[in-house]
Amino acid sequence: MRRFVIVLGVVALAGCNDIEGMDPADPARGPGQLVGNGAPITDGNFRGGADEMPEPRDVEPPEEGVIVDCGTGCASYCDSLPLDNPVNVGMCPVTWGVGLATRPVDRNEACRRLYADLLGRFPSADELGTVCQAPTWGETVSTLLATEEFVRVQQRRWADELLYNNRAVNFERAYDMDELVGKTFEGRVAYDGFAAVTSAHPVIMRRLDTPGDRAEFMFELFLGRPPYEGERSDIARLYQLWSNGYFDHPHVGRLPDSYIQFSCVDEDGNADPATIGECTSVLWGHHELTLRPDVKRLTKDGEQEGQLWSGKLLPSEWETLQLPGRLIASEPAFWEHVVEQTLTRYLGYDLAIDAPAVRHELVRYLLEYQGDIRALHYAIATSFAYLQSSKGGDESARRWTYGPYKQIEVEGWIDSIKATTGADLARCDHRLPHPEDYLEPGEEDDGYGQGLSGWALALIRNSRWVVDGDLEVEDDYRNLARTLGGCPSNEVGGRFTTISVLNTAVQESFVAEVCGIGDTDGVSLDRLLPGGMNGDTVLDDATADSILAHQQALFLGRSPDEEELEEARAAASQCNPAPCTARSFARPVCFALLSSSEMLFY
Amino acid sequence: MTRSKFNRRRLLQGAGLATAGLAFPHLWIPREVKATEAFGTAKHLVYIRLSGGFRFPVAFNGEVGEQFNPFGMASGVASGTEWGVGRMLDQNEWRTDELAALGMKRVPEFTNEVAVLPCVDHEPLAGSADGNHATGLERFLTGEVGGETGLFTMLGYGLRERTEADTAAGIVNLPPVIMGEAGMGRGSGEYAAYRPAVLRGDDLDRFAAGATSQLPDWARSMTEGYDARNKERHNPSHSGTVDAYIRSREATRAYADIFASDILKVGDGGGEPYDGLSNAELAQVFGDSGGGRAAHLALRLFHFGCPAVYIDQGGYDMHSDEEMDLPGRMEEFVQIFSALEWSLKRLEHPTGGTYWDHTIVAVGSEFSRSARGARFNSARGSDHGGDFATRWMSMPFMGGPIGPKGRRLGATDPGDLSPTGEVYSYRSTWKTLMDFLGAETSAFFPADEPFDVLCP
Repeated sequence: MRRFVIVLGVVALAGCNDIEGMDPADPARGPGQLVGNGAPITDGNFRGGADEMPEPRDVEPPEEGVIVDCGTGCASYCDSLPLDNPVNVGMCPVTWGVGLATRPVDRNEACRRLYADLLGRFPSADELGTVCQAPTWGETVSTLLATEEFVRVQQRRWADELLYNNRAVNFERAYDMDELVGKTFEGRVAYDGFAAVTSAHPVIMRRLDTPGDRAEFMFELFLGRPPYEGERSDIARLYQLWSNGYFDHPHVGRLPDSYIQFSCVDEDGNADPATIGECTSVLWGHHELTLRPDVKRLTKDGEQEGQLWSGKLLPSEWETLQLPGRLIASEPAFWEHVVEQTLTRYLGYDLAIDAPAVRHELVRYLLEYQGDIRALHYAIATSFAYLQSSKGGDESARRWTYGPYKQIEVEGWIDSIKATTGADLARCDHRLPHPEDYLEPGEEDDGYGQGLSGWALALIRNSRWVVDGDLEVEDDYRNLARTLGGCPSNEVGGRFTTISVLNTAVQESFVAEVCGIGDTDGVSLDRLLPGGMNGDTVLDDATADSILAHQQALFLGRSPDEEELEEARAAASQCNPAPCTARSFARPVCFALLSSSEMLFY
Repeated sequence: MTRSKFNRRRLLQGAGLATAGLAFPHLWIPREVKATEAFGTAKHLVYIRLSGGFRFPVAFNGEVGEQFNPFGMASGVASGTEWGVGRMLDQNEWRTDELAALGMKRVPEFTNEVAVLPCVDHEPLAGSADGNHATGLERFLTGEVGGETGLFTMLGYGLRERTEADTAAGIVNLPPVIMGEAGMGRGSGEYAAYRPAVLRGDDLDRFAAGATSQLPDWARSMTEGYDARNKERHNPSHSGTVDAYIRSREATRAYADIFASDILKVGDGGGEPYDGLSNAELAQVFGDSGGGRAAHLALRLFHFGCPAVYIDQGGYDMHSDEEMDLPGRMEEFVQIFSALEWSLKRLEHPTGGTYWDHTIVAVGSEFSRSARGARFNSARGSDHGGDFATRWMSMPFMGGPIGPKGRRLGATDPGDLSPTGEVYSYRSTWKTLMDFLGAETSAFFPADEPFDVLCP
């Protein structure tokens, strides 16, 4: 495990925000600061969260493999149902209307899924007894959507999409983009507005090399497909102004950042008839994109001489540059793509392929709420495609007739174990995948010795990374997560979720360490035993039952069934040398539960 | 299936087979694909990326203008070396008297055992270099921008028949291993199953001991019971998901013995010799740097059949202060390179000979660097753009299987670095390395064929 050793004395941390806009506690700089600074665009009270699961129409359901066809009887039946949720409305013609049933789900199973998807971790026993017991699923989902954890999960997912990497792009841009994502998922920026700002955001512009690459990236990101060559070259003309360069940050040195070159204009800043075509898109109407140079703000020397550092762009200039996103967002496919993408995220498959009406209903619903992206998440998370049991039933290719079952993301798995066991692990910050870069001594020395920048130290300390007393980044969490596919460095597409032999070995080894199997101490025994039970308590059936019930509630959020209790009693009877103690039983049980597939899938 | 099935040369000696095929159309005639004389002549590859973009002429193909190699040339270079040894390969503060006494050489003393391709290019048909970090790295890791399959996944896929044969014979061999950027192990669809293992330094410790082997029997039964019941409870359409995990847990146990082996405890400094050298000795020559430990571990993973290890080393994106800092930064790489030469020649390979006889060491980066005609940029560093200086990876290849030792295979104009010899596509270069390892390459980059110039 690599440690980032900084041989320095422990120093007191002082704020170092004497330069305007350069606060290490709030380093975000970019176009995201200009939007979403008011109240949410909707009140967050979305409809459709209290439907009752319909009974299937009393007809023989279509055989497996047969294309589902909703005739007039089916359509009438669906029309008669009091469904308000757009997914439910859209899936009725391929489900209840043709006689197919969905599978009711119990509170624990459903809430475990909701927490994993919305908050990125499994619920605690306390949450299962409170938040998950709200009168309607709509209320539970609304509660979760209003949390910082939900926003954080969405920010992490967008970090994966946009590949934040502080070696490739100025970290201030990643912070800014992250805030923009946060505002969007707090309902303060509409999704099309989000797309517009994102389409000309330096965090993306600087990662890519050519106008064509930038156009292609936007197509993939917001339309879910690569552009045709004509589309690529056309939209590329709206990215002619972007240039890659370097910004000399006064505290952390040279950082990659975006610049603007003043293409397609004459010396006065007017459109140059000879070249304006190179900055003109005709794909979705006639659109020219140029900026008028302002000599006072241009870079005076060096490799970006005559260009404008994107940090000096004015709000009106940002708005001009965001034209590609506005154009893309005017396409119906833009809304359809986000619907399909979100369906896939929650369900594990794109329901809109088999139930196209779901796509249609969700687009309408999203627009009904002015593009508040929370509405889309609410609608899907309260639908019966999502809130049904993944247990039981027959094998079927009709995946919407039973609940989804997916692998939890790496951070969710680690965080859930961390939360339930109290395991001592640091954290990961997706905005700054390489914090160590700023803790390595450089030239600057503002009093912290050997050239380490106090500003940079403050930056890391204000991030989610943990810096220890030796000024080292605690990387235990990061190393574990990266081995398993999470907490990506995003040098190149980062995250992966997989089952592999080596991943499994790492997971088992980590769980063994947490539970105290073999030579490791493990977490405190108090966590693994019911309240009031002593580790030296003699192991008998009642003790085994009690330990199992405690740990299952803690880790799996459910009570043991009779088979599990029988197995625990049998295990207790085999424990030797007899008589065993609660301690010698609790730790292996911890391993059995935390390493089980129930912790990995939901 | 036997090893001989993997000898592509036999398939390519094709006239007789082709005739037979015409006469007996039911015979399976393998599609003729390009393979080199070196097919299957190497068993292991150490593939090192000098991360961040490395200014190659300061070390390899260094006999060029000072705007490309401002540090000059090394002295005391081994005779027979024709590729221009840059002075940055002669950074030797690491080489204590003790290490010198062990026989560790300065790199210039064995450069006649290294071949260099001065012009390896991501896109030989492109008008300019790709000097962008993200896309340059994508090209390095996957061979193309937006590539969905990492080069090491390709290797795993290319070796799949051998792996299956070994598995059927009860032989547990480790797969390719990544100790660096995980993008090298991208893979989905039919390639997903051939993704390499991604290790992070000492996280290897997590593999050791096999957690379940430390459980009492009753607890192991409980563990298996939870998974079995979970699979049983769920809709049969989901059972594959849980089943994959159950099978993975079973396979993990098969690897547990390997991971628990003292041979892999590279940080323990044990004195027990394995393959002729102890971990203490190897730790001494490789040093305690992250890259050194990774290279040390790589050699030990090879003992267990691992065909290739990928290592990220350094951090050479020196836009400023390169003039002052690069010499110090090079120390780690130079020590690793020297330690590899030293140890490969001393380690006895389980199949006979030394590891040197069976191993290739290759070094690359996402791109080279440019100071746009000056020795350094205004911040005394270098950048990366679209020019020749950025464009050429001058890649070294070392090891017994490499044929043209000491040779420069291609050339550049010292004044402007324009190519005056052969330019090799990076994709072809990778396929050549796969070819050395006996991996089938036909599924990837059909326009880029492996080449022969590195063959014995």
